[in-house]
Amino acid sequence: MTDARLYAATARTKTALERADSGRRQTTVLTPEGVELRVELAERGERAGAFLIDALFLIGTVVALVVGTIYLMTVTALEGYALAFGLVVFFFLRTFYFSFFELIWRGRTPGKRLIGLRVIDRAGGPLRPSSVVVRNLLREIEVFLPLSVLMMPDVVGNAGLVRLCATIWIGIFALMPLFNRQGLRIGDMVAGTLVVASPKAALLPDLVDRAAPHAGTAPTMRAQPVSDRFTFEPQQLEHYGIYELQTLEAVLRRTDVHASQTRREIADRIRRKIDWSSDADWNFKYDGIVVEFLQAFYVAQRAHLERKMLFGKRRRDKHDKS
Amino acid sequence: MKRTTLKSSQFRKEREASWRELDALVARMEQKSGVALGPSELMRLPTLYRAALSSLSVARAISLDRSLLGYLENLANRAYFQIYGPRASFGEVVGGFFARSWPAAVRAIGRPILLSIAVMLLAALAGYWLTMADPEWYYTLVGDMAQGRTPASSTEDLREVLYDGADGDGGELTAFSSFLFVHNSRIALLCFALGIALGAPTLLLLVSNGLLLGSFFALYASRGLGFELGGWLIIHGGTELLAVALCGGAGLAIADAFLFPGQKTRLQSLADRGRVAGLVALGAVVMLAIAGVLEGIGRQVITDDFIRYGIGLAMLALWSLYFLSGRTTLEGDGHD
Repeated sequence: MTDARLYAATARTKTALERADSGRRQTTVLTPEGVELRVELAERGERAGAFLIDALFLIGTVVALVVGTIYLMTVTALEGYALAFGLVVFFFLRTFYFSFFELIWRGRTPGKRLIGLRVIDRAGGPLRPSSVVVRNLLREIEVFLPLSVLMMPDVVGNAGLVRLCATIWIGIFALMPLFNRQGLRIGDMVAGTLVVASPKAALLPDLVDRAAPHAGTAPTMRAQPVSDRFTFEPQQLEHYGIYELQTLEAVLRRTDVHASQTRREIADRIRRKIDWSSDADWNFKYDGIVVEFLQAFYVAQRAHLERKMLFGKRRRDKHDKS
Repeated sequence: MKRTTLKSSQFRKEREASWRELDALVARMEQKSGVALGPSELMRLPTLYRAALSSLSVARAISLDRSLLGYLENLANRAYFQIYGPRASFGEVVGGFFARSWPAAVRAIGRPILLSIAVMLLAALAGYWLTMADPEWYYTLVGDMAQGRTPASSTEDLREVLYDGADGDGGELTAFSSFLFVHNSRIALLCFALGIALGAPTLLLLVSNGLLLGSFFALYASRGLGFELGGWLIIHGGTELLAVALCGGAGLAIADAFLFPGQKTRLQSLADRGRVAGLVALGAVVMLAIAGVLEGIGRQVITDDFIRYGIGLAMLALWSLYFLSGRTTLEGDGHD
């Protein structure tokens, strides 16, 4: 590889954020304990969705507030107080709705909670109340100012040009999440925060312990130790790397209708690749046999790769010759 | 080849119970925030969290089980969110804000605040001189903002505005106060938020505000009503203009952090300064609420010039004492 290409390759890894299994872009934060946690960045669409939900809540509350205020003003003799109450409550709703919920719900608003998003500190420290307040005060120029520009009355001469300039200028702030890799909006930049997805992962059974991970297809083999009817020589385990191993894991965990077909093909390919043969005559048409074989291979391959890993050798995939 | 026991699966068997325990605790915290845990569980939480983090580190080094790695990564994430989310209760946050964080934040960005006060004062002086030299400037600088009070108004009319309103009923005065508060707060917060646009709009707002004030003052001074207008303005204006200056200073601080990040990265510099500036702007909202009451009710009810001056200057003295007497800094407090 020439220097220029090497440089291009490193530059690329710097600009492209790694993607998680869910397809979301990932980034890392360093916790105060010194462990790098991988967090999944919220997609821009998800954030917009969460914001829309919150906006709907807000609008609903404001409509109720206006109706209530008008009712109080017409029915009771307390018009002045009712108006004052309405004005102040509206201001607080608009300014502190997001901050309030993000403070009491640890970085989530109702919208974020429904979509499954959360605000965290970009540097990995605790999310500070001041960050929460700041990131939401900046909504003033991201949301409310653009809205008022759009509804700006034509008082100035040359209004079209003025409006165009204002729209472009404001647009830069409102659309900031589109212009950076982490999808930060202005508020996130000034407050030092990050919006991440908080999905929940379940701990699946270890394939090393369980024979058939997919219930139903081979009930007789559930919860049995891995078969030792299939054995592999060390040189047969030199063909694959971590990527192939984890792909095999995913295939073994699959439960959809095409899974057995896929497994059969993979088992064939592996047997050919590692040149596997046996004295006994195995019928690889049965999913039970296929699963048993693949699982035995998975365990042997994983043991092999993990042992190498203890000696500091991580073989990334089958092309990795290290 | 014999069946082998994998180190990674052995590792999982030994630790799995503690992960599940942490998982259950975190799941409950996610459902109800805050007080969902008993004291003994709260004691367990940090231990379990650190254990999960160390498990994650070990698993990354020894295990190739993707499901396990994904689960641990996720569990550590969720526990981290719970543990490092805003910890304090809402009440504690509010208390800490007034007791320490707000005045400390004001001191931390003292220079931009002084700059914004200076800009406003200079603009006011300029507005004053311009209007004194040529009353036509009044129409440019103030325009329709002063409800029909122009150089064409009679001195009697101008005087009347300073002292009427005392006959308004409580409801009207309250509505007027809250209108003033909401309006001024929006302008002030905008002044802060626009700091991100390199501070230019913030400066513009400060200058136009100062010009307006100076020009308005010139109109009254030219009729020999300068002292009376001073009382009319200062009773609430001391607090209100200080709040606007704080927001302007906060906006300028952001602009400064963005333009001149020094050793830090631009984003880091913004984040560090932005938090401090935001605290200052937030506090200004409180000041504007007080100013709204002083303007909407206090000024209408109190028509004696000396009492107006007394209240206005006393408020200014109180604010200065409050902001400048403390010694705490934001660093190391962590409770901002």
